[in-house]
Amino acid sequence: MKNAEYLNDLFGMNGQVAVVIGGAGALGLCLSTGLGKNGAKIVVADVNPDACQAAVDKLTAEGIEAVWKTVNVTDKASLIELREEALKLTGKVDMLVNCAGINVGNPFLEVDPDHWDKILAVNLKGTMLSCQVFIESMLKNDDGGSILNIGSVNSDKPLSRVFAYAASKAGVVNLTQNIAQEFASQGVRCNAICPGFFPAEQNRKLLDEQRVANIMNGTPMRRYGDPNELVGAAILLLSKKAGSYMTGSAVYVDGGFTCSWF
Amino acid sequence: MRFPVLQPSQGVRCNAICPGFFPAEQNRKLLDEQRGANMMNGAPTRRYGDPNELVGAAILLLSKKASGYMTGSAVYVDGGFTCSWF
Repeated sequence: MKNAEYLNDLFGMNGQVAVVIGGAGALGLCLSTGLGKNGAKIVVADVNPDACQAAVDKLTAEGIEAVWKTVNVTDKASLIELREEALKLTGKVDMLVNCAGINVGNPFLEVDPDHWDKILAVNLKGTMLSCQVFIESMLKNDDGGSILNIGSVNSDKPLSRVFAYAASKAGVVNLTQNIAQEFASQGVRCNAICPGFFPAEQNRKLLDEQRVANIMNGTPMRRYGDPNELVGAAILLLSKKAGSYMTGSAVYVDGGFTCSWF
Repeated sequence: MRFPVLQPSQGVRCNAICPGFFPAEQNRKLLDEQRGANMMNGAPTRRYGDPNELVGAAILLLSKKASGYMTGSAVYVDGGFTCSWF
């Protein structure tokens, strides 16, 4: 078997459907593109319809089959509507990627309770609700399904100033593990990627000179990650064959940040 | 104030795969009935792994592009054994 055939047999996603919640954002669109180029059909789900359409236009321009639907991840009814629309358009959902996330940084004594609630609702409760909704349909698939949640280096130990975000990401990994053990024998796998430092709109305001120096000194690779560098791990964890004995795993893609002190 | 940066990266990555239970000659003698039952009860997938199921993770971790930002990672391929208590 030649190289391309071998890799396609092991990692390929031809004919499979991935719902990417937060798929119009920087990270979500990158993952959607990677999964799409690997053969998957993509359902982009996000809160803003214009952003969804723009994301699907980009995917389509790359030859990827994609559709979109708006969703509010904190609202179970909205997620059910997304699932039903995805099933109507594609017949079956094989993969779910939970990429929706928000962040605010403050000293602890200035943490706004409303901001705390909103961050936990989107990042953690939204992940839980979407898993609940889509696992229901995955359990009806002959070949089960696979979920990828987005953790963070904060899932290991928290970064300063981002109290709600860090707590939510620690919760996401814990939830991933618990979902994994619940459904492993029923054909549904659940894993997490934990990215290191990938500058994006949500964290750019936090990147003052000291924080950047701390990040660079703490990252053995001495650089930020590129969102495309998350795609390989995402494909491994989601693919039916290559990731078949992986569930409840948290895979750190962080340039070595969490692997040592100094 | 200047913040000194430590020496630059040297381009060599090092990662680990952490397999769960994959019966082989080195461990077959340990697999008595009770131990086998403990493993099955502790692994949410309720089965041993097949060595071929390690290949995907190995390819990811070794490939220059697909895991270019991964080093020091320990990737568990264990059917969920380490992900929870019960």
